[in-house]
Amino acid sequence: MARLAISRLAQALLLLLLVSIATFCLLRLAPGDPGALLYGPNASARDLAQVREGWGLDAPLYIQYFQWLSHAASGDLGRSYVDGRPVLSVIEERVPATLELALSALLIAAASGMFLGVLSARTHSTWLDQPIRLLTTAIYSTPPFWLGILLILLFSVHLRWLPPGGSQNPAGSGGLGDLLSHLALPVLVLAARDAARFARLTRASVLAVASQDYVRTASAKGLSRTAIEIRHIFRNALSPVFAVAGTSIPGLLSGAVIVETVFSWPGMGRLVIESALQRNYPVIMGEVLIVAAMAMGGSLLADLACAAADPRIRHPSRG
Amino acid sequence: MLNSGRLMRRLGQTMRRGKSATLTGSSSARHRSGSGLRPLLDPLTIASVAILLVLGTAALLAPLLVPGDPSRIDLSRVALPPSREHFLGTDLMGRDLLRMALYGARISLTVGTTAAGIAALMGLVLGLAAAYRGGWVDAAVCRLVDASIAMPAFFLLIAIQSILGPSVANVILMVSLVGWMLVARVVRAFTLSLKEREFVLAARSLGCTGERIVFRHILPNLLDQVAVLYALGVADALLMESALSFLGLGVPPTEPSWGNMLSDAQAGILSGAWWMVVFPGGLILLTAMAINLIGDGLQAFFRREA
Repeated sequence: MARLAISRLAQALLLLLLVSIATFCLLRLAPGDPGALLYGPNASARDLAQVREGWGLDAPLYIQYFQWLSHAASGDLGRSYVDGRPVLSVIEERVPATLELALSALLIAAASGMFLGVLSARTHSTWLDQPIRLLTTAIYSTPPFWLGILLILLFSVHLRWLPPGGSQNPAGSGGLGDLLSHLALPVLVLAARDAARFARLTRASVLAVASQDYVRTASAKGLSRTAIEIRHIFRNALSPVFAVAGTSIPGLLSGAVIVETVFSWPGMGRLVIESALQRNYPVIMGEVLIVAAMAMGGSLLADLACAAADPRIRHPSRG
Repeated sequence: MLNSGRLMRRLGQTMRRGKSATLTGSSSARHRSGSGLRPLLDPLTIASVAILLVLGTAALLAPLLVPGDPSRIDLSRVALPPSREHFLGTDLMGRDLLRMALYGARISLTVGTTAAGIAALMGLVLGLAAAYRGGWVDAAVCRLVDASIAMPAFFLLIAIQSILGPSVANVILMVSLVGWMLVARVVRAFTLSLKEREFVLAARSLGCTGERIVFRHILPNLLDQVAVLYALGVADALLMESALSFLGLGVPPTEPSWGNMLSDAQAGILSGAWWMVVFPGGLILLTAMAINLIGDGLQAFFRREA
């Protein structure tokens, strides 16, 4: 177990290093002078040179990278080109909103997806098969931003039940009810695709387990259908589904970019769009790095949790 | 009695043998009988093919069907609901939505098919190289796939796109960068198992060169898998393009694309101009769904054939 954890951690760190090199090179090779962005098009050459020197932009690329890396290791990701604040604190204040959104979506997607998957496995090869297949394919094929706009049209503009965006009432936080009413639509949009994915996986997994010999033995023993389903099928069929929960994390964080834009949710996704439009490279760079770290940390935790629960993963050599 | 009993038993054995021969026998025999094509004759798959054909033809013939410049602004016809003159209505700049939708289909479908094609090719080459060469090539490709899958791709794409700026070519590049990993993984897994199959071992013992084995013996057996992944990839690419365009980082806003139409439509929501939202999004949904269903149909078809 410890060995698995260490090797996975080492892998994650290596990946993170690769990501940091790639993004650093990309962003530093970018056209457009940050000094020109700061001082406007009429900046003098002296101002520009001063900015470049002040921010260390005149050193060779690899030196800049190592400087940046040593700073990053101590938590200093540079300063925002826009307002000069430390990048880490600019990003930090956006993290909770995104986590709130992504974790709620993961929870809702897993619960509803497994429920629907079990339901569709129980009704397999009946007339319900095609409608369910059509529905999951439709969810897969719906552009999330479109779904978001439609929901805003329906629930906010037309019915006036839910706020069209933001994370709290302008008058100040109205407690849990206020939070939930703001969360409902964004979470629904973010969770939809993963719910369909979980439903498909669960259905396939339940059907595969249901055709195993030990299930036939159990029914030959005279166990009731419910007892077989709960004790023999679901327990074995749902653990691989839990195992893929970790693989949802990158997709959820990516999806957050769109959902946060549609619903003006003050999270990391909207920050990266704002920064991209402003060419605020240090913030974009920091975001990419932090989001990568979050995704890798999340899948690492999920993997370890699965290894702890399933001896077959913990000891692969024993088959 | 005894004799006939033995006869019956032997008959039973041959019948069983005969049956098992058809179960594991050559796929072409079943293919000819027609039953193997059943997954492709499923009504949903047929409907999907029909939808794509109609849409593709309409996009190709757009200059004949809806003559005129799709981005021509006409401020005397702003935000008109659907009517006989404008089947899908007009947008906030008085552009005809049907004309924009058909010209947009050209860009969206081009981006989708090209980007998925590049992704499939990248995945095919890398997956084949990884499985066939093994060693450090395999390790490098596997790490690259792992890293790319573990990364929330949108953040990196937005970072790159903010540097490159919006253009159709850049969107194709971006979208194909996200799509190749699954293809590489599947191709690698299949090649690893094909590599050990008798016909490949036979080819090698006959003295075939590595290239000949890869191109003549392994590659043809991979193409059905790649075709399925390509179809599913086109649907994903279409959605990705519309998302990037919607965020203002995709197809340049001056050119018609389904994502751009939705991006423009946002301004019309509060005035109740539902047609600006419903039609372009519905087109994306319909197209992506048709492609996904065709991919599913192909997958079922190849699974039965194998």
